[in-house]
Amino acid sequence: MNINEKIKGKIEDILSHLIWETSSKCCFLVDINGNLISAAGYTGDINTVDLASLSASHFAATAALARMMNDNKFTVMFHKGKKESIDINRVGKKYLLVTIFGEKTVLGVLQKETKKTIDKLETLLKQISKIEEKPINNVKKTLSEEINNLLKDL
Amino acid sequence: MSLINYASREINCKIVYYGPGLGGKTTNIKYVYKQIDADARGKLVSLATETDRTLFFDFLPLNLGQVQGFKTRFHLYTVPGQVHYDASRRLILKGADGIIFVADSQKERLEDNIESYKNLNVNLKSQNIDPESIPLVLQYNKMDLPNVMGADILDEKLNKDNYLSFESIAIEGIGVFDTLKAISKLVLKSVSEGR
Amino acid sequence: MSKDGLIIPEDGFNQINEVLDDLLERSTAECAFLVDKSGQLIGMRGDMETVDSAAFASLSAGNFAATSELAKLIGEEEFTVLFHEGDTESIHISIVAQNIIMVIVFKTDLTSLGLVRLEMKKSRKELVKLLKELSEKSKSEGTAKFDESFSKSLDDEIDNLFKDK
Repeated sequence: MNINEKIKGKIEDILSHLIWETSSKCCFLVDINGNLISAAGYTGDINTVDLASLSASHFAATAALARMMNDNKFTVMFHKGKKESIDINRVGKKYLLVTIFGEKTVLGVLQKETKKTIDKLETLLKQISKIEEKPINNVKKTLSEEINNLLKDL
Repeated sequence: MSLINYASREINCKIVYYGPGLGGKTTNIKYVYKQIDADARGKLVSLATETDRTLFFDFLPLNLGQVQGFKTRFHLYTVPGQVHYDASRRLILKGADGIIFVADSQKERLEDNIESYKNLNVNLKSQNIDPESIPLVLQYNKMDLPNVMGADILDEKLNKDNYLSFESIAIEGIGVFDTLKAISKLVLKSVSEGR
Repeated sequence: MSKDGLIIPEDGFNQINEVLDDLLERSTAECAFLVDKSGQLIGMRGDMETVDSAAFASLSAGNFAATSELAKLIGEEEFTVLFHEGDTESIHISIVAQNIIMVIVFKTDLTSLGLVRLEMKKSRKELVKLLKELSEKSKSEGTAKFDESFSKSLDDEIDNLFKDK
């Protein structure tokens, strides 16, 4: 999915807001194919390519386990570390919100704000997919006109 | 890691297909899945992207049958080939007993093959596996395409350690079993000799 | 065999099985899998009818490995516990030895995570001890004892299995 600069800016704002409200260290929007879409907060010491790849892999394995057990979903709980923890949530069908946080973050606040963030992101991403559908239809129409024209000349 | 269970009389080994993206690793495993009798194999697990590129791994368990009362099983895995999936790829090498390196024989992919081979060595070490001692075979895939390098040149460029190498057209199944047979024998020899 | 190869002796898993059975009964969980981090199923107790156990083991190990690596990325040591709650079934994954994880599957509405965690805590020490003993025995028992005829028979089986139809 082609996400232009304007939209990326909006996504970044939403992510930054989450960091601000929860005092989390950083957060990422990743697609389920392992590509990093956007990030906010202090990401300096983290390899973001690896983070995107591993988050997607983790999600894929989790989803496959759920399917094996005929379950619709597994709620991915957060993974608690000594100093920092990771929270991974699904956003729409194709994205993941990965949040890294430490002791400064209150879990209840994180849960609440994460839900709001997911809602905002889902709304924004839905709009993008609507915009995307139009150009493809135009291309199809133009292409078939072109082909008809070519055939007429033969 | 190989597992020898005297209690349940089982021997299990892990074989990993490695190589650059779109080289034919998943094609190999899918061919094996189709050809092997259903009672000699388990479910094929494929964790892939929406465009069918391997994201995390493919997995296929195979049953070799009983030998001297021991059930022997192979677990076949493929890694994701794309460069940015390195962190995931590394994990699949954990406990590997043998490697099939699937190279894309097209001229323009030589650099990718070389990079991937180097990457294999780095990642093996990261999983505490000695690259010099793990059984390995090379497969030179896509030999049906017009722009491929010859196997002898590929040997020169990629196979400095003189491993067994096989030409293949994995999409048609050519060379798939030859390669797998070779690595399996090497791995089981290694296991049964207790190396 | 890599130096990490595991050999399970003839008297194998009896004690370990007992600990697992006991754990399952007390926690009312459905089944417990012992899986090595490379994805191999080492042992299983309980009942998982519909599930392909090899695939299950491989996915659990992969899942755990990805999370561990994520932990390392943020400067943490690997997370020791993973929990996934599903609509009907849930999974609790934890490390029980350097290279072995335990996967407990339980019905979401029948068993509580709290109970699983509590019982797991009780059984853990014993389990860790037994697995450590197993691993040490495995190393000291040394190498596998197979002769040349075994090798040859294996080769024949390989030729039989890997055949184009």
